[in-house]
Amino acid sequence: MKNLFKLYYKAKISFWNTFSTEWKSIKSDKAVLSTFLSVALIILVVYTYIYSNQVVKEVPVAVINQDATKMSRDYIAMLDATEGTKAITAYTDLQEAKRAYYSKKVEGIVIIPKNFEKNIRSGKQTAITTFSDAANMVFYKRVLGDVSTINGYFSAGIFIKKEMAKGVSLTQAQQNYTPIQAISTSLFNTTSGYATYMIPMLTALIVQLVLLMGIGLLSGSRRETITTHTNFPRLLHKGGTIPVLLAKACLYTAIFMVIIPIQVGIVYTLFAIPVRSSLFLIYVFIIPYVFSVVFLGITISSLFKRREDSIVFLVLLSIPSLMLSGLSFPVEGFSEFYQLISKLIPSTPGINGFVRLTQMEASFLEVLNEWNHLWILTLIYFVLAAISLKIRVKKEAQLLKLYSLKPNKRS
Amino acid sequence: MKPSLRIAKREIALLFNSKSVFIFAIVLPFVSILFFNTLLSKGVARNLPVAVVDLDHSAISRNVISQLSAAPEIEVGFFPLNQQKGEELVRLGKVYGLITIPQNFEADLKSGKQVHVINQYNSNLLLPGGLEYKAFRKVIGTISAGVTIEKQRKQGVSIQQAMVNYQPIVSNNRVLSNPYTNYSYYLNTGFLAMFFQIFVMLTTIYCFGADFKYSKGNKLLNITDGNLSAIILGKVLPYTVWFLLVGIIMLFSMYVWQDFPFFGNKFAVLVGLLLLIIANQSYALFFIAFSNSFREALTIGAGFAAVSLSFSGITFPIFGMPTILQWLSQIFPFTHFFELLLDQSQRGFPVFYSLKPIIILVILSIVPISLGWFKLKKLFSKGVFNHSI
Repeated sequence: MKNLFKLYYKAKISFWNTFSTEWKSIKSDKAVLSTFLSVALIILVVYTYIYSNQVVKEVPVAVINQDATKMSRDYIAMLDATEGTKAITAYTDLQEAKRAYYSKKVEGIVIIPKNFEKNIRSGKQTAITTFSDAANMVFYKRVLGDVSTINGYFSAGIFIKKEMAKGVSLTQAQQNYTPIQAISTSLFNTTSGYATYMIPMLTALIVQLVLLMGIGLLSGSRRETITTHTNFPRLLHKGGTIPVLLAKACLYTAIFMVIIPIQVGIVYTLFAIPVRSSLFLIYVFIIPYVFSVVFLGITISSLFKRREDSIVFLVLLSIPSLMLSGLSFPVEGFSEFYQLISKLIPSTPGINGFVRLTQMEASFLEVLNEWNHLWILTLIYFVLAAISLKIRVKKEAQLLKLYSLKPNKRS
Repeated sequence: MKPSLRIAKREIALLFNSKSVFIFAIVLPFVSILFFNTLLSKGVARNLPVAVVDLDHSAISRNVISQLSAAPEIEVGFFPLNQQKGEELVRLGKVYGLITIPQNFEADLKSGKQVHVINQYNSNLLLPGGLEYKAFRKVIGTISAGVTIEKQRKQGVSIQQAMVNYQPIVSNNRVLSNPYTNYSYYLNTGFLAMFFQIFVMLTTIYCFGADFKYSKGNKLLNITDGNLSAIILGKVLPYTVWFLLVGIIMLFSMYVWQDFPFFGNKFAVLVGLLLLIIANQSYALFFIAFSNSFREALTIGAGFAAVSLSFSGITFPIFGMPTILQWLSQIFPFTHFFELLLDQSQRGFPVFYSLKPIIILVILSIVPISLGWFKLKKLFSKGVFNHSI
């Protein structure tokens, strides 16, 4: 009983010592501080600003009017009135329009054929030819989407007019044209805005990026100066890694409890990105996320010899982990190997859960899977981090014994 | 030439001595090529799960469901009992959309009333949400058209005429550049090229920064008798050559191994690639010249290279950005290289139209290093960064 109490007491001391040592190193390391500030806030603001127009409007499209009738002009006016495209009729033939496309003045070409009106009036089918450039999917979708919508409306208009000429009422004619009406309701991000889509993902990714960078920098400099074991003396004792690791995780969680409200409060409000969850739930959700990332950071930081190395590796890691989260390209399209890898990265459940919580109105029960997933990752990386820390401290101790060096105090 | 040759030799020896430079100059570029080429190997998203709430349970409603399942983009995987359960599935992320067939669907349809099919799709996930929306509209549109045409046939109209009546205007869509709308063609080109330039940028900063970190700037000046251009040439040129090779392998992996469409001029792409490398090295030197520490140069360089993806217009077109950012996007070499690469590969434009990006890349190669030249000279004679952290 006495031993147990002693153990608890030592662990408690070690916990608070680690907490204050780590906090002091963060405070005194200008690099870490600037990483936290610049990445967590500046990068987020810049990215949000890039996407702040949300959707692409008025994509210029060349319309070649070979018919030059009233009906063809009506068609052009309808196309021009759409949100996505702007009809440019300055080009008389395909060659001219092609040159404009080559020099990026237009992003697509629409041809209204000769006898457009005549064919329609005589009950023949007529085809609108569209050239849309799928090298850029955003333009492609805009142009093709708007042209097919207008084609549909125009066809429907003609059909309904014909029906009405037979003496059918307008509503009846409309119903005749579409006996089954497709009603689509877009949920959550109703305008398919790009910022609303991107920024919550980025916020969650930034948690991982910043933490890994900060931990990598700190541990790299401790490694350069061989001070890991002097900073955290309990590490050399049996079971000493547990309070050290827990203290670090708690400290970073506390830091993010300050950063997240700033991000959500300022950036989201500034750019009108919805938040559909309470701060409390976000806090509860990010605890295991921060924990697992911290332990992952400690695990992989044993790979870095210099403090600068961590920056390089983590910048490179961030985009693949965004891809693997499955929010940009659906997970169903990945091979099983990548699906497995994606499950080992904390950002996958982290981003998914955060986005669903803040954007998709999910209740906490509905992100419970991700939350549990994060706790499992926390456990796995906790063990790995403990092992890697232990190995490193022992190595350092051996190194110092061998050369009987005094550890340099970092300036 | 002699002193720069000596520096080049030293640089290559350093490369094989230092584990970290070796890893991200030699190993990681190939890892990234392998990763992106295999990650999106399918390229087109298929069989996205959707849920259907069938409140009608009739022959026609079952027919609608089977037609929905037959669409290549979606797959009906869940049949929740009511709308609440279905919406929960959407929030759980198990399905991308929820389709509801209302009660009396068949009875109303047969009695000539207009009926509705409701689709709630998750537009927070742009790509799968959009695909689901499109597939749903197509399937229901086709079924609805079938009913209309059938009605007309009963009135004695021929099937051909009924189809023409239904759709007097048809769309004849020609998809240029990427006819299968393969996302791999679209995303891989951007991601691979972007990663490639991150490696160029970071390697250059690293090979200079490591020398300054350990106060070797004077030593280098001694080797070349104070000639700065010889140092830069000796240190940078081996990497220029190496990354040109890596870049060619990268292009090879896309256009030969993966068989991406390539209709343009190969030579123009190679010139662009070389200029992209040089421009990035020029920017790297600029960042080193104006940074206070190795870490700062690396952070700025990495940040610059990483955000150039968003500024290149691949995720969101430059055309749609705020005006200030449209101007800002022009200072990134990647923006111009990416334009050149797309124009000369998938789009197959005449080379004349790619002269503009080439000229801008040349300018972007010269300007940064000229701006940083004197600062760089000072830094070398000092031999070490202002700060060590």
